[in-house]
Amino acid sequence: MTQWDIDDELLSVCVPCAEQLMLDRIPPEQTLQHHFSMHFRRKMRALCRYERRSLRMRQIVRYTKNVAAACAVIVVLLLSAVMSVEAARKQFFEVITKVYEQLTEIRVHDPENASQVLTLCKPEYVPNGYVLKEQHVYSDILYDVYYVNENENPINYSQEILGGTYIFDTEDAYTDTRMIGGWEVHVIEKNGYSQVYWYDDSFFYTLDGKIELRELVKMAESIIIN
Amino acid sequence: MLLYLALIDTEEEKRKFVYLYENYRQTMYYAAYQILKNAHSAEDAVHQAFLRVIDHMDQIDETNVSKTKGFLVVITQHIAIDHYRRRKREYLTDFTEQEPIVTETGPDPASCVDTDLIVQALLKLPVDDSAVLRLKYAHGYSGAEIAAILDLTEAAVRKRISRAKKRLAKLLAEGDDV
Repeated sequence: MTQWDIDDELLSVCVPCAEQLMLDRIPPEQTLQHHFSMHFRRKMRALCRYERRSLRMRQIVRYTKNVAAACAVIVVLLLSAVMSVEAARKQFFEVITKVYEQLTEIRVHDPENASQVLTLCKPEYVPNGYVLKEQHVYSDILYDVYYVNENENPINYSQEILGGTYIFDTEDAYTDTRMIGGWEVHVIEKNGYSQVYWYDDSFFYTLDGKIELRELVKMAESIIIN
Repeated sequence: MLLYLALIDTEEEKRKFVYLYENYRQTMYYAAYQILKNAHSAEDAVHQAFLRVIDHMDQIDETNVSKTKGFLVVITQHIAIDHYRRRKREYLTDFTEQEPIVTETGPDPASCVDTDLIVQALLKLPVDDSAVLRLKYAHGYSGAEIAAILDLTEAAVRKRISRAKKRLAKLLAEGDDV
């Protein structure tokens, strides 16, 4: 067997060549025609609501990420005993909620029994003066609905297959958690803009709009209870 | 798009980011999809890759198309493989050897080894190993910079580079035996 001496000088010659070969195998950008889903664009839109992160905030996020990672390890170890019980395993999925100074991030990992089929749940209650403007199902994972009133103020309702990261602007906002139909419903209100979110075993639900919080809560109730 | 602009500090960085987003998002999606084979997961990986790029905007020279593309693809592939492993519940091999320090320069490599064989072997390396080698030898980043880009510790970067070299040598040796 030949002995290969892989040193830095050799790699400095060969690695750039290998990378160029690899990149050449990727079709040109102009020929790629993937249509990014509403889910992808919606995550971007949700994050647009937040203030610009300062350098200090990025440092806070990095530090908090390390702490959260350590906590996640502890959580997994502690829950490994629970996972040995079949019934508990079916109900468990890893949810990490991080509350930063300016926002709240919910990350859902590997929901084991999350439905892969989007079973649509529409609100039975719609606030007075609002009508359905449009509704779409995107890539079979996101159901997006818009209601508007005569002033074109929108209420957005979305239901999507559980999994991924959800971020909410909670800086200087009123926040609370309520029980509706056995589910924890989280509410946020800031400068007249209201948000409500909750999740079950399969889906993540959000309601938001420039409307009184109690109206969104009533809409949430009409979804959960029905 | 607007999401990312909110996270960027200077107008110059915003302009650069717009350029990167408009000219490379399809490429990044393609790179992620090659690993994840799932559109939703690939988009998630691209999203996180752009967030990672924001933290390293000053290291990107968008006028160098080849290097920029390589840099973005490396980040995307690294994030994608993380997603893949989370999904498949794979675990990285625990590797404890320290990377040997090169204290001598050998004979001219072009004169005594087949660089094409080495290049082909490099293309067969796992994504994790390939990523650190490319950032170090193709893009010239230090261990500390690679650690920041890939969100690893410097020790982990050293271990991966050392492991990658060993795997590369093994691939080449296996090729000799054929």
